[in-house]
Amino acid sequence: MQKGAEEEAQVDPPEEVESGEGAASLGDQEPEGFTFFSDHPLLTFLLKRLGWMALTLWIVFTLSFFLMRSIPGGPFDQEQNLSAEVLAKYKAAFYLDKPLAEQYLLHLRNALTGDLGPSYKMADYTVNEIMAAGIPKSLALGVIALIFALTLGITAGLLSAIKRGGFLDRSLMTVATIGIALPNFVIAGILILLFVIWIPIFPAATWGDYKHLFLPAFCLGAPFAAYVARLTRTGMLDVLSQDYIRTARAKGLSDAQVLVRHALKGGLLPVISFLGPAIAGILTGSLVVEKIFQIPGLGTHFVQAAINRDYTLAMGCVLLYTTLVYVMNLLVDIGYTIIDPRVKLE
Amino acid sequence: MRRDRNRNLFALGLALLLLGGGVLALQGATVERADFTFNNASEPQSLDPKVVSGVPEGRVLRCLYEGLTNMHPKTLVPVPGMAERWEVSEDGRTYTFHIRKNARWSNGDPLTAEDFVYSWRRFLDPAMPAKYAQLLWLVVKGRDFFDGKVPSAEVGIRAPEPHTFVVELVHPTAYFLDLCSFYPLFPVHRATVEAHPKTWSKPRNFVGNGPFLLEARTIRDRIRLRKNPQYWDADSVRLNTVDILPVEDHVTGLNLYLTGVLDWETDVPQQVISDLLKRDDFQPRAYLGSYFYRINLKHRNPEKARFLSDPRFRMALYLAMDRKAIVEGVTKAGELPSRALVPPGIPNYSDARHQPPALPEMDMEKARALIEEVKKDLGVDKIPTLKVLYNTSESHKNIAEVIQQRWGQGLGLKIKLENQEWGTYQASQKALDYDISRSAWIGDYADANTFLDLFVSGGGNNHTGYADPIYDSLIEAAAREADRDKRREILYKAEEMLLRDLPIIPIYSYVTKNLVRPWVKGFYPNLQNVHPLKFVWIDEEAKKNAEGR
Amino acid sequence: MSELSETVLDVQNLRVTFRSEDGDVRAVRGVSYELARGETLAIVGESGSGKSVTHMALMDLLPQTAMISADRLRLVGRNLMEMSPKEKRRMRGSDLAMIFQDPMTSLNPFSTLGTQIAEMLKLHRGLRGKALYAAAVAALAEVGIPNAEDRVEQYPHEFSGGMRQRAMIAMMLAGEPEVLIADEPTTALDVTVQAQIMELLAGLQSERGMSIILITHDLGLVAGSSHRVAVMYAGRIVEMGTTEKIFADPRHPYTRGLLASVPRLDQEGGELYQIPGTPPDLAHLEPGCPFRERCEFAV
Ligand SMILES: Nc1ncnc2c1ncn2[C@@H]1O[C@H](COP(=O)(O)OP(=O)(O)O)[C@@H](O)[C@H]1O
Ligand SMILES: [Mg+2]
Repeated sequence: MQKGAEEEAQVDPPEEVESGEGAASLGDQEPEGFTFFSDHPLLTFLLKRLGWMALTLWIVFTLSFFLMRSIPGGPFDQEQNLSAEVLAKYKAAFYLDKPLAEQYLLHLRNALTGDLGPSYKMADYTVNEIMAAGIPKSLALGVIALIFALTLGITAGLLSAIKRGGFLDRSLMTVATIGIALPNFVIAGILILLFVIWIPIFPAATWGDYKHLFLPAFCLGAPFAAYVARLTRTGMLDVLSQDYIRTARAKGLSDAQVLVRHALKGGLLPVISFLGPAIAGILTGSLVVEKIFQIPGLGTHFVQAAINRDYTLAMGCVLLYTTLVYVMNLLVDIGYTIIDPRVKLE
Repeated sequence: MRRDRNRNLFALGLALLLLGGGVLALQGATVERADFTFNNASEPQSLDPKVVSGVPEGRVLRCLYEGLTNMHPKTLVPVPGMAERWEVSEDGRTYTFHIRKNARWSNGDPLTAEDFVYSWRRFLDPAMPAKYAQLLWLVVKGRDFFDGKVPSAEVGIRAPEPHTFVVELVHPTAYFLDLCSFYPLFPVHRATVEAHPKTWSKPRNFVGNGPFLLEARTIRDRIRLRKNPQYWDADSVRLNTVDILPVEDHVTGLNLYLTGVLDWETDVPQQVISDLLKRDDFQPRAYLGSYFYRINLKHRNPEKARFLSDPRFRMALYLAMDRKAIVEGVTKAGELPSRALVPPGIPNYSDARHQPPALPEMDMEKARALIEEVKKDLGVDKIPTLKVLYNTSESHKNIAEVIQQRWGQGLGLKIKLENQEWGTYQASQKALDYDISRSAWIGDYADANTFLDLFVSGGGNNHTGYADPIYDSLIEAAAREADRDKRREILYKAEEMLLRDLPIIPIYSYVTKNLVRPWVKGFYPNLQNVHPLKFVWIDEEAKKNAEGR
Repeated sequence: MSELSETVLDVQNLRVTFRSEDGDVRAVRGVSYELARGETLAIVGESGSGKSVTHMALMDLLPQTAMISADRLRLVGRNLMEMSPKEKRRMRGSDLAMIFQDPMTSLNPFSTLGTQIAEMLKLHRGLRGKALYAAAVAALAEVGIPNAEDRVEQYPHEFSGGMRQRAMIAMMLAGEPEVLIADEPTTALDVTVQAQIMELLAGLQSERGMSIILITHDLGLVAGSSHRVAVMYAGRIVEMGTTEKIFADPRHPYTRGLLASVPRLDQEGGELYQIPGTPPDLAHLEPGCPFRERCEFAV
């Protein structure tokens, strides 16, 4: 007992004893957490992270550059009927005949000026043009998928947590378990059968109006929705058993108020932490989904670039993916500190 | 309090941002359906005839451009295109084309012989030649110009008059008029190419001379074509708009066809072929392509080389291959088992009236005997394990398994299967880094030469190590021969040699796998699977009836 | 006792049973007491004796598995047993408030104390805007938190333990309750702070004239701060009386045990007395006195 009290005394700053000291320690605590406008912490945080991003991009660039070229086959090697003489001229035109180190420096210099060169396999376009055309489509797909994942996942998770142990809870969690286990091409197959062939309400594939986005975004988002549902449920159950929820109820708040004002933030923290991996997963998952639904986004370009040994385009996609994942994670990290005041930007 | 409010506002802001992104994402425009939509199965490498080398590119380019000659939609024989007529000299080496007076570019400029001179020289340009540049080495001094040895003016391509285009060939070339309709040799609009060296093939700049205009193109999404009113034969073009989709996945393509998006799908997934065969709109026909296995005659491993370089061993492999089981059990679309490299149906070679050389039927006994003979001669009892290489695909795998079974149980060989992803597989094949490798060849034109030419010594697509000066001289002689019958006999000899030496093991010849809606007219089956959209039209009556049902 | 006349809380024969798969846990087995206005009633007893459950039952904070029954439950003349869930909710925080043992975990870590206090002021006093803000600041100041204007913008983790409990008190008193249930309010705090909190509660009580139920297992805390003491054991009040009487003349052997186990300043060295054995299993109580097994006087 005595020992415990000592510990408590150490943890507690002396502000208990005298009000004056308590006031003095206030100053130290002020810059904690997330404050607005005056914010040097955010700025330094951003600068630091951007620095890391630049370094990461350079490493990714270098690794991809040499890895790609270490795989057998080159962009012009695999075409039937290309005579040796023609091939030599094409390789020369794209520096492919130069020593690797020289190629590396050339490409790095161009990349630094933002020029990723022409696509080797889609000769009518530069890599920048191809990516500029692909980004909005992949982002549209990703955003809708994320909205699906979050709205469906959080709703299901909340319902499950509130009706814990009940029929609704059990059925929702069964669906979620299946959703996590099913790869998205299987989900795609089922949905196409249901909503394209049997009940033709959605187009089978290709890019166009909003209807074209629905099925692919759902397929892409479904496994994440399932995961979010589980995270929300466990998060909410965890929070609902917390003392501060009892406090909130003791205050005389209604169940809904307790849920929205007191339980939600804490309950959704696991979901927020999952957003980083989820966004990365949605971006990479779109490789498969874009192929199935013939969406001309980055995923399709990336896969084809890899198959075709389209070095420049593949490099562009790798760099873009790295940037996207990095920036999204940055946003998620900032988002986390917004929800949880105990976490600071570092 | 304030801090809470700020946090909440910020979180709300992020959520709204996400939602706003969602709303923006849903703003895609509705695409109005074209008169005719087909799946081209891949994004064209380019719309520049110089850069292209594949079947999908051909389908697009034949809409946007027109060569000196056209292919007849049924028989594929050369018919007038930009040239309304032509003369061939006695010796078969000089072609004089008369460009039609009403030939125009899509911007209204007249199209003259000069345009062809420019385009064909550009095709051979030593600095940046066409991928198929060797096609025009058959023109006098073509090769020298390509090598940078002579100026362009010396090449045997001339325009003595604005509408007269003269080509001088090194040898009389039997298939030259067919070549003139081959898409890499289409003309390009000089002024546009020179004004926009990098962007001339974009819709905003594009000028062509074909039946259709390039209206819009979005990468890996669609190419929208519109009828070209300047086209000399615009009156016979009946489609106003055409959409070309680059759907790589044929399951997706099939879904699009089944839901009415596509009028023509150019290939189908292997696993549904048996079901599709019950439909009226799926009718596979003979196609100018061969499926065969290459054998590495120059294997680096001496153990393996001893066997692989022995023609009797290769013959044993051939004899022990159950081609019937493959076409009936695996490919299923009516492919024909092959006993030769050149597929059937090539006019004046393997058509109904001619009998090209062929190998005997499957014969396990003989095969076993040959193996024993080889073993005895080499004084070896054990044959090293051989690997069959194929590029990753379900049907290649299934075919290889049938073969593995025969060679394994039937001949007592140890066979392993190895799959590689496309690029790696191509590289392995090129580097002769394989034992036995799955291969295929689709003819560029309906002539046996496109197949037999593959295996000349050091040929760019030989990939077997086969090198025989006699074979080379036969191919060469055939190229020089102007007489059709004599030429055929020479080529027969060449193929006979090839079938004797067997650097390749024939398996089957391809069939086309088009799915075409019944109301699509002017679409004729043919050996090269070429279907110029110029002749295609929609029978609205039939369409209405079919849809009403 | 004369000034403590009006009864604000009247509990008669309160029983709480938890349904569970291993049988029913009879956590409260007939608790009765009356609480007068301005009075402080200390509820003491070992951990597990049912102190918290009794009062959570009054607050209607128990989970669905709890079966509550009583002969009478009245709060300032209103019958708690006839209240609708909505009325009970309104009663919480405004008539009957409760503070909890661990101020560390009992405050919402995700919002500022200002917001958490303002929530009460809004809900029970209908304050809005500037008045709300001012009241929140005032509430913090009232419980002795310095720099209240800045402190309203701070999160619980930016407070020390004692300050947090003060904030908790400020929050729970914001609804101006008739009765404050303080469930082990100082157990998690260090000794000097304990005294300050008790002092604060006493001060607030005399200002507002509210009644306090002080739940504790620490008889030492009770001596100076409560008028009456109720000793609970195994879900029952085994002895109740004025503080002086209980300390001077405990009747029940359990009370004696409890008193013997209080550390005293005048006691030199030696081991503290401990009641032998453990509290009975409330799921399987046998008839008769549940203290029998541990009782020095049992035959
Ligand atoms: N939710 C519950 N379900 C089952 N038993 C409970 C529950 N809450 C408390 N109990 C039991 O009720 C008894 C009284 O607990 P409590 O009132 O918390 O004791 P204390 O006197 O220490 O506050 C204990 O035996 C405890 O195990
Ligand atoms: Mg307790």
